[in-house]
Amino acid sequence: MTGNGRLPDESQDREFANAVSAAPATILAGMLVFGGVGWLLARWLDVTALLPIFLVLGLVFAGYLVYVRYGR
Amino acid sequence: MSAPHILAKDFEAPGLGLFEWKPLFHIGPFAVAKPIVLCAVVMIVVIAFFWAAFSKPKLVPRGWQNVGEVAYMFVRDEIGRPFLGKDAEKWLRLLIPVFFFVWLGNLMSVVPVAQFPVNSRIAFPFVLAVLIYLTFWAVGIKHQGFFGLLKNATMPPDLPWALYIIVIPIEFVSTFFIRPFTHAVRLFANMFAGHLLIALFATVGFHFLWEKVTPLGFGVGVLGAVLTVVMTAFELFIQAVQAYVFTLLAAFYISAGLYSDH
Repeated sequence: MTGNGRLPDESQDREFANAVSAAPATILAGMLVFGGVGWLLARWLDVTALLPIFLVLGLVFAGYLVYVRYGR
Repeated sequence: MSAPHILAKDFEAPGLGLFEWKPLFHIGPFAVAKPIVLCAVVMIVVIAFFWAAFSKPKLVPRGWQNVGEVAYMFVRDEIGRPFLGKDAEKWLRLLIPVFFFVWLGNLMSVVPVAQFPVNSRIAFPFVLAVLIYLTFWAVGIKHQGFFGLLKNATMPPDLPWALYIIVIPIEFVSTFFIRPFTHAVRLFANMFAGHLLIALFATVGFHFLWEKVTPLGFGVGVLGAVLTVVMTAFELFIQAVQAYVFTLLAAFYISAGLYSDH
């Protein structure tokens, strides 16, 4: 892109936007998706503990995903 | 009963009632309450201001045009260009009204008589967020195609392929479902909480310094009054920051529709 100064991908503002937007949305989505799977498994296998376990797994994985996409 | 219990016996903290307004009048089937009136006032002020500034632009700006140009350049340089580059100018006609509508709507919280942040009713930020969300879809499909948009939004580059099985559903839910909610809720929650806090401290000051003055409660009342002033100053800052963040995210989402990540 030429012309008006800064390139979109190089700016710090983009990192800021990622931090305030994409990161929380990804973490919520991770808990939602994993939590959904955990809830289904908990009902299917009749093991109540699977829901919280999967919620935490989703949180951890989404955190890792945020790190891989925006943190490095 | 302990001293704090006795002290606060008749004190009633403000709650959700602060955000519930009785209709002032009706237009057909629609009940019009204070938030809508304030929303209309903000819209009129924004339109009138930019009309006054730019209806007859001069090469050497004077008066309102001076202020208008500062406002324009702030949104262009701080919000538009970092995300939209050379396309920024074209999108300013959306970003500028959004920024000033949100900011003035928030500012209504500290304007005497108004004293209510428009965006502390979730409907207002939500409508704006949905507008930006639909714009993201429209420009995304136009510039990347429907499947291109889905692929670019859900498949971040440089990941081992096995991870995609888990990454795709998460990114899909995050980009296409959660985004408009976090966009709206961030603004709503900040304005809601800020208004509630100011109201709480003001009520504490009023109750202990006016309604029920006691030697023990006097200090609490002074604390409430001081904190009301401090929190109002802090709110002025938060109102501007939240308007900035809301518009910045709008530019960010539009840029995600315009350009792919790769």
